Amino acid sequence: MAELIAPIDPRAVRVRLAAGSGLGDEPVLMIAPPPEPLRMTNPSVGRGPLGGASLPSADPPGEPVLAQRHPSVDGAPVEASIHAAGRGRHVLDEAGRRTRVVLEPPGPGEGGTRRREVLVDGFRFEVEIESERIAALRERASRGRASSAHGGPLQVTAIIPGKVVAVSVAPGDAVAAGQQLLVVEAMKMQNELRAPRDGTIERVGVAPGVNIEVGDLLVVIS
Amino acid sequence: MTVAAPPFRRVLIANRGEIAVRIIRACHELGMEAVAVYSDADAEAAHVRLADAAVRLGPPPPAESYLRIDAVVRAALDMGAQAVHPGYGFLAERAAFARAVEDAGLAFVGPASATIEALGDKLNARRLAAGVDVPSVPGTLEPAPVDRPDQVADILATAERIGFPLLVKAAAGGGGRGMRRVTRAEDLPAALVSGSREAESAFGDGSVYLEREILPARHIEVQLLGDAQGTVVALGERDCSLQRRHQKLVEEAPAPGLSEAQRRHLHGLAIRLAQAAGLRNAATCEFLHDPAGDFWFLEVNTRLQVEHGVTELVAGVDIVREQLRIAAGEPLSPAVIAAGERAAIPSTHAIEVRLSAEDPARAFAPTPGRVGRWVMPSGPGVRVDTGIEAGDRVPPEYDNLIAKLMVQAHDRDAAIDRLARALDETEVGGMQTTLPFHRLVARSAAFRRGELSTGWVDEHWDGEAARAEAVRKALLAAGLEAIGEDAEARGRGTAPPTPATTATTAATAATATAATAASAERGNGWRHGSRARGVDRWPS
Repeated sequence: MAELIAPIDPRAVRVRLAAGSGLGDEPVLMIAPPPEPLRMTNPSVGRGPLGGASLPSADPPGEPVLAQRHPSVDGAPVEASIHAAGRGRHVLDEAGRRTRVVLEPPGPGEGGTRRREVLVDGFRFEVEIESERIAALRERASRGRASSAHGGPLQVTAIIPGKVVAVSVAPGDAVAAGQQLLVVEAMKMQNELRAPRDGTIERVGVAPGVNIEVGDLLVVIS
Repeated sequence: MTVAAPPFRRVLIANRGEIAVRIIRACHELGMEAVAVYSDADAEAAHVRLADAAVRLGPPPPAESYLRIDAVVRAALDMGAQAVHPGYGFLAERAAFARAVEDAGLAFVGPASATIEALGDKLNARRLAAGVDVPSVPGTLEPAPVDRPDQVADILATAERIGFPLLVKAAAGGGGRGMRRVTRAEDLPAALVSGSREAESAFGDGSVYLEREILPARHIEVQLLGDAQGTVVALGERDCSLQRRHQKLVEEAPAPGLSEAQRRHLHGLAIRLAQAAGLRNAATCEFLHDPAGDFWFLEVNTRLQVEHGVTELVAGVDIVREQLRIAAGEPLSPAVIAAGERAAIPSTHAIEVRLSAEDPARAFAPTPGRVGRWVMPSGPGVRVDTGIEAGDRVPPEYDNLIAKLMVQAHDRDAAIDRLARALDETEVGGMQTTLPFHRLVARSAAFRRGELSTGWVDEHWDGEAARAEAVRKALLAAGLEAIGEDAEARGRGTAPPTPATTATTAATAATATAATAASAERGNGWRHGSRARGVDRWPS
């Protein structure tokens, strides 16, 4: 089971509600760990089911530990940390405001993401967690890359190495901007490559099963 | 108290879910066998698991299973049951069902079929109330003419006398069906037609009448028990004001803020009405309570109520047990009589929240499915009535109620504190429930001040905002956990401790909590080491 779950690059992750469980307008959070700790401070202890209540710290002085580090959310530092409390229970600490959160064990999600059920404040969500780097790569890949100016034939070339698993168009096909051209598997994820503009397929340079390198010519749109 | 013979040897419970479980428990406590009935959707449900025997009624749709009077009565006879308890919902208030049970020579655990019939027609109940000087919500006592152009002038004059806004209500109604709110005289004829049509299709009776809309109002009801000897006792009142779409969400006993005199007056009204109707067994008399302090009779429910538990906690009476004894012809027990005498001076407080498979951020839309994590509260003063275990399915065919969480304490403030604590312990996964709404109620200053009204939910609950905040926390928690956990796994056993980490480790000693915090931090130190190497290993 554990092998089926995609590894997560801990340097930055994207978290969103899993497809089908959101209302459609929820944010996607990009969360990165803090830089190295700079100072020592007193720990915040106590893991009671505080349900979001804010309590003053009852810690005795002394016993300094690593400074409260500030991870970043969407690029901005936030004073937040999470502490495991056993059996899936965690305490989310946001600047001393603590909320009890249940994180159920992760399972595989769509397209190589990691999916897990989260219970917080009585709500229940399914979230998808993905390495920021892979998410960004996939976005770039799906945008495709134009190698020539407007008007003339457009050469779409590979921006990630991988294996072509499906080709959705053939020479002579009319395509609309955004339409899927082919699917490339890279980093165990299926990446859709979409047409960057309207046109007609002039040439398809690859076939399913072919391994590609960055810069390889994939499709020419006229 | 002497050890009495059980009222019956075997009882069939014509219901499902938490109420069937509740009744089976009472049967077992009285030394009686309980026979369950089930549809194909409930073949492995809790009430089937708990019963001594179970009879299949049919496919999942209620009309093909739990609403089949013939199948239920035949099951009772086949299984040798001597009594049938209908629970609430399904057939509980169908006079035809009570009559079929009576005609089969079995005891119906509830009021007589004639009483159900007389009180089930709301117009009839209103006329009965008028006869014993119990004030009903102002309105009409006869069915309103529907689609009769020649009588429009008459009904408009009546409506003007009642006053706008008013409600068009179905005489056979319940659950808001057939109900129309009318604010202007010119809308009345159309509302009468559409309300009547809806009532016709829902109840087979298109009779509608007019009632003044009392707003703001509190919904307060009186729990009644009556025996075959004609004694009727009020076990106290409940406040059920927190509703949406005329479905109750939170109930408490006693109703906060009433004086002893008000309670005696209210209980007296209910008893007068029940005696006029010849009530036997359990029923509830519902009233609206306006800001001026007046009580207006609304309707009588001739059955066990969902929220009977809060009255049990405050009155110290097991209502289902009493129902079974009364059905066997026994008089009200001395304990019930004594509880009735104390009802106007309650000494404890109880609150119930209905945990339902509904999404409170999406207008309480149903969310049937399979239950994942299922942690119910416990401890002092907490009672949970449910028919759910982890892994159970909540079928889409039936009511969305999955558990009733009740708390009891010496006064209302303590009960609210206890409710907040109990809800903090509650964890339900697999499906969205109404838990977020109940958490808001438990922490609401307005609720604590006793500012209750039937419009409370709309005034105080902003589901979308609550959900957006929870989404933010969920994403943040999952993301923070992800950037910590994996780094730790990667770095384990290879990273040399940093100076800071060493210092932390050395400081570990004093108390268990300090040690816990320190070890958590030490883990983070390792995570940092691994992150530094991760930067080298992962290509940018």
